[in-house]
Amino acid sequence: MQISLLYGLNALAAALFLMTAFLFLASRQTAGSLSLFVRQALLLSASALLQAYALHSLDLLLVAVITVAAKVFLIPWMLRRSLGGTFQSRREVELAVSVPTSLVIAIGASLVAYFVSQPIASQMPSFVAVNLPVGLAGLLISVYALAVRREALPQFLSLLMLDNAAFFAGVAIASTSALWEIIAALEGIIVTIIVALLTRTISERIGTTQVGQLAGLREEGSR
Amino acid sequence: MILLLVPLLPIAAALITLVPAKPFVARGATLAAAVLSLGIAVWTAQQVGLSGAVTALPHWVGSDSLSVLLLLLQAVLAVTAALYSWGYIAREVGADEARERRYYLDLNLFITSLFLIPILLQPALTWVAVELTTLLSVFLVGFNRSAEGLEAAWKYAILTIMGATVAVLGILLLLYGLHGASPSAPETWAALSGAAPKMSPNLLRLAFVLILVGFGTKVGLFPLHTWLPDAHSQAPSPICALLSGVEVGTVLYVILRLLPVWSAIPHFPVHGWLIAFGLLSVGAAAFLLLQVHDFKRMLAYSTVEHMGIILTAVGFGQAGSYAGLYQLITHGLAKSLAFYAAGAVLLLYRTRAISEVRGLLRASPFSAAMLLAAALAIAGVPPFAVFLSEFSILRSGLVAGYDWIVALLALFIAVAFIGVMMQVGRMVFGEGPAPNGSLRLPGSVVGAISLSLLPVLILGLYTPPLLHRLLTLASLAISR
Repeated sequence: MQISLLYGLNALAAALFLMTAFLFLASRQTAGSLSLFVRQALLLSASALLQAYALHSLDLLLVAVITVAAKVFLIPWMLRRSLGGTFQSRREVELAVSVPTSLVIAIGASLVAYFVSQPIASQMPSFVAVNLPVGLAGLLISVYALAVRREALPQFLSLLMLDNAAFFAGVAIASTSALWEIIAALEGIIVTIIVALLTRTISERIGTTQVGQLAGLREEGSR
Repeated sequence: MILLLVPLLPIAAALITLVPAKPFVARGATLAAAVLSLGIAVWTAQQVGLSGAVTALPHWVGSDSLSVLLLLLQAVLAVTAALYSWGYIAREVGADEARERRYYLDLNLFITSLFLIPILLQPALTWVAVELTTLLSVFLVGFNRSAEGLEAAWKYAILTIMGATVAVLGILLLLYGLHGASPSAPETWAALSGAAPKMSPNLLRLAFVLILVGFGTKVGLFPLHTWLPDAHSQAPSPICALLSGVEVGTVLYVILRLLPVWSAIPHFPVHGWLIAFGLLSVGAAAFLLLQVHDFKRMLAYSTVEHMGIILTAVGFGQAGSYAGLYQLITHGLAKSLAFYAAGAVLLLYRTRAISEVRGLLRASPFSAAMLLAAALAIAGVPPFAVFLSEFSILRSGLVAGYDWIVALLALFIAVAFIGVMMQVGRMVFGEGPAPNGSLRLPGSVVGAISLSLLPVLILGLYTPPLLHRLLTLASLAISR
């Protein structure tokens, strides 16, 4: 396969990756958000796979396989198993900011990511030049998504999207460290188990997963 | 190789807690593991004092002057927290033995994750250990299972994991720069510092922002501090002591570890950034301390203040770094004493509301004296250790020519002093109803508080030569 075709396919994966981040921001149902997370993880592993092929890197191939196993199969399965009821709910997730406003902010965040990473990416190989700004944009959008969601599970899904974004840039810039990518993937699974347990405990004890309604603790100046 | 036992001992204790035996087995195993870990930490400190570094597994596990300082602090607090927990948690859980064993399981795993951070030589693995500190302490923060406790645990988990995920991109960028500058170099802290001058300044700047913001969230630097007063006030008191006394300092250590890397960026005012973030945190925390209504939240805001002081001190240069690292130790010791004393007050009054605790001196002279001593210690009053470190910080700032910064810092420290002493003064000397809880404190609580007071007093009057040597070596290492 020609290298320019691999670059082109990676750029396509990056464009779709960024699009899923925008769609996630617009998504108002938990099941839909989980499905977007899975698709984004698939795009992350596709990018790793393309780079593995282009750079003849066994490490990156391993990263792609681990990403699919952990994020496409295991984590969604664990979340559905422990919090199935929340995913079946058709109720719309409560957002602190309207979707159109959030999308405008996401465009701004993408521009910031582009201009911040441009001086670095321009001196780097083509894969990094694409993955770094897209990963950084995904990072900013996910932090914003986390801030405006007021329910436990959508907040956690934002955190998982944040992880995807960091590793989308990561697979391009640290393509030789498979060991700790494996550890990071295992840790992602631990994060999911612990947060799912915490969400279930909150739901059992308080009767809701709407963390926005938990307002017993307030900053002193805002009381 | 003996250094490897430091994280293995609490893991062994955690395994023992899984045995459905009487609770004293879990309590004893936890305390024994902590005491043995302290012994190894002291031995390691002596070796580092002699040779500069100890290596257990080359490029993987080892310790130098900076990391062993932290390891010592962690081990001391692990001992006092295990001792304090003995009676405190037994009273909290009552006859629920399974819950008590679960507490000790979580406590040992949390201590393991803390011990890993200073002894791991690779930044990527250290990042994993930082993540583990959050994951393994989430259920300790929400241990009381109240709505407020679970809310605090949720904020703690989400915000600090978010911070760590932002920081990981910074670490990946550094590793990329390392591979470009020295392709065959191991991915260690030392290799990063050595290769930094050959890395792209733009790459280093972006990594700096991501790591400072990411780990700064976990350190509780303003304005990323919002989770800290919640988590550090809702957890059981021995956990608060570990979170405030050592966990935030441990993550600050990771930021400090990278100072030689940031200093290699040409025309980049890294010290200016540290002073700006530090001073902002001290100022915000000082004024929040004046408005606080919950005595454990008051101590948590004081932690934000002290982290800011340390960051500002490091910005002053090598002498400031020496004093800042000393403050990292003295604050950890004083803050653990403060949370233990606050826990005793909580056992007596069954409330964290400052307005509902009055006349403590009459109700429990021991608790009153210890709370007052702890408040004076964290407020930086002589002869306590924090006074010595804060005085050294202010002096180093003046010597380095940061007159206005020092003036502002001194003003904020004075405001924080007023905030803490005003609230504690009312609790100790004020007039009010008698406490609701039992007036008799568990023996282990009294023992742990008394034990914690000793180093806070001693280090205010005398700096042991080994500690002075380690501080000197560490401050030189991060100020290169």
